[in-house]
Amino acid sequence: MVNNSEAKRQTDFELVELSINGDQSAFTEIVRRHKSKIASTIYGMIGKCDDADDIGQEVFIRFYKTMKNFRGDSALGTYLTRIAINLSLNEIKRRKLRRFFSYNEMLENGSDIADPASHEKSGENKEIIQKALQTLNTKYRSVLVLRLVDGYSTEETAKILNLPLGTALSRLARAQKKLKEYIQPYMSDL
Amino acid sequence: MKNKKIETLLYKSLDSSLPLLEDELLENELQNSDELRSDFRQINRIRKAVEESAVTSFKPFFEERLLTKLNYTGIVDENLSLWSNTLALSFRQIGFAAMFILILLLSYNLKSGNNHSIENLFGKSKYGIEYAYDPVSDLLRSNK
Repeated sequence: MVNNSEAKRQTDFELVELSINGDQSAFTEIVRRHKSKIASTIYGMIGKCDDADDIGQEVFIRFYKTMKNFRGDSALGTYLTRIAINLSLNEIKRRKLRRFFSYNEMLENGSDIADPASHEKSGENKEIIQKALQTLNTKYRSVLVLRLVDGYSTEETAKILNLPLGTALSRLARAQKKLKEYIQPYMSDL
Repeated sequence: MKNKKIETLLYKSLDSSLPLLEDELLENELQNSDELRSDFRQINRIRKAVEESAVTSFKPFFEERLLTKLNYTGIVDENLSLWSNTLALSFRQIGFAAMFILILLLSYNLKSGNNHSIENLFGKSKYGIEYAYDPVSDLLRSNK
């Protein structure tokens, strides 16, 4: 078993190999390295809520269960981000179903789609942006989150989402146009 | 933005490099159009705001909670027992071979014996060691 300082010097691939052999400190180092990017992906996709933390945990549990299949064809961060995107999309689908079957719940909690008027005085840029992201269709939201929030290149974004580069680019353009329409009233705040 | 083509080029330029001709075209338009320049600035401000909106942390003790969950649900043991599973799998063939030999022996015993008793099946003799030293049975055998 490697200690913490040794684990920090190992590459992701070496840490995965150690984790497969039961080294928990190596696995902890993997989590420590990648959790912030996974957090930004999930929060970008589903918004700031309690579920995000659970999905974050689920990403690493899924990885733990299947890490022996990780061949290192793509970077570990990309691999984990793909899991995070898939789990976030599942959560969004689940929410839609829940909303569909529970009209009362929707009335109590309100819709995910933000009401621009509710932000008039908040001045919280982050909140405005996050709400604006939630108004986007998931296919536009995912490209925007990966490209702008996570900082992946357009090629990496297309690869993670399994899209042709041209489609990723056109979705990015469309997503930004929609976001601009939504944010226009708050432009002075940004 | 009036010109659709220029608008497309503008967005495209933010996420990929444009071919030289398209790049020049966009540059010219940017130099000549106040509206386009204003749009360009707006889009860049929005992009920057989106980049800065990232929430990069989960609730406290994320790793600790995760490890507790992994240990509690037995996923760790599941993974660690992998080597023992491999070992068991490698011995499976030996097990099958032994089973086959056992069935052959049992069939041979059944065929060569004169009855279908369990004792015969397992090749168990009806004469035990105690029988050999039993004086009564010795007499009986000599009378035969």
